[in-house]
Amino acid sequence: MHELSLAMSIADIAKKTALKESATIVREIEIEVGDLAGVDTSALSFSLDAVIARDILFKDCKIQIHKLNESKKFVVKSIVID
Amino acid sequence: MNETRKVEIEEDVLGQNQMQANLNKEYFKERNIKCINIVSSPGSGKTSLLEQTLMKLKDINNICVIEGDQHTSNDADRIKATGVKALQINTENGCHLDAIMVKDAVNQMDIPNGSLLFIENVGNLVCPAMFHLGENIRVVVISVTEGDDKPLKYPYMFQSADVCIINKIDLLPYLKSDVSKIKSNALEVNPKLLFFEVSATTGDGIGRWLDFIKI
Repeated sequence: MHELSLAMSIADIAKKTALKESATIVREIEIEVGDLAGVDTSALSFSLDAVIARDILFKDCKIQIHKLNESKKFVVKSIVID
Repeated sequence: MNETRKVEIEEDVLGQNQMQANLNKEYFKERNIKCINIVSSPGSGKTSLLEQTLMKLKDINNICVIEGDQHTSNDADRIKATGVKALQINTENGCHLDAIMVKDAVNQMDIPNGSLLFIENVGNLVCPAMFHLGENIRVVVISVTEGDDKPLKYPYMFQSADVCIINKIDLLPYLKSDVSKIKSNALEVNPKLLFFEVSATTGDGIGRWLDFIKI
């Protein structure tokens, strides 16, 4: 279950960006995961729910996970903030 | 009230670990430290292999060991019993070591220049594959009791390794295992792998491995 530490990294990246932008809430996090990245997307989704629930900044935040074919890419693509 | 807006990020999720791994690598290079990250499933004989290696090399090279396990200091205690400096990291709920844990361990250890540094990762053939620690060499250990098709079942770890040690060859007379099949399966996922066939218990085949790893 390395997806838990990956989820924590994703939340860190989203939070860092949100604070830089002086945001008060993160409404959505968009992630791209390649099929060769070694990431189980359902475990990632489960872990992300658990991680973001701990921070008011992510209240009601939606997680969008896009799967990519024949790719090792694994990035936080964007966030939607207020 | 802030207005709702989208901010493009495009940041690698493993970027922070990779950045620290690069710093670790630089640290090792500046101090002529050769760092070896040993990975495998639980029970393949990583600690026994280390014990055998340390007993033979400790009078030739300065050696330090970082041990990763979820719980207990059993492995570090086994290493210390050989007379080599060891530090135990307990990952608690974590299933792998990361570059930041290694940095913290290195800061605590005072590793002499020109040392061999072995890192025994958490026994797990999936998760540690993604996390570079800044090592010079990644060694995956597979024992002959694990099934010849293991490299095909867990390709990421074998793809990311430089060296494959096939351990417990002393048990071959009692098993249906075929070492040439393990090798061909491993080469299928990583044609660059370098192999060593050893028994950490009897010491068979250890000589070639020691010649390869010593400074």
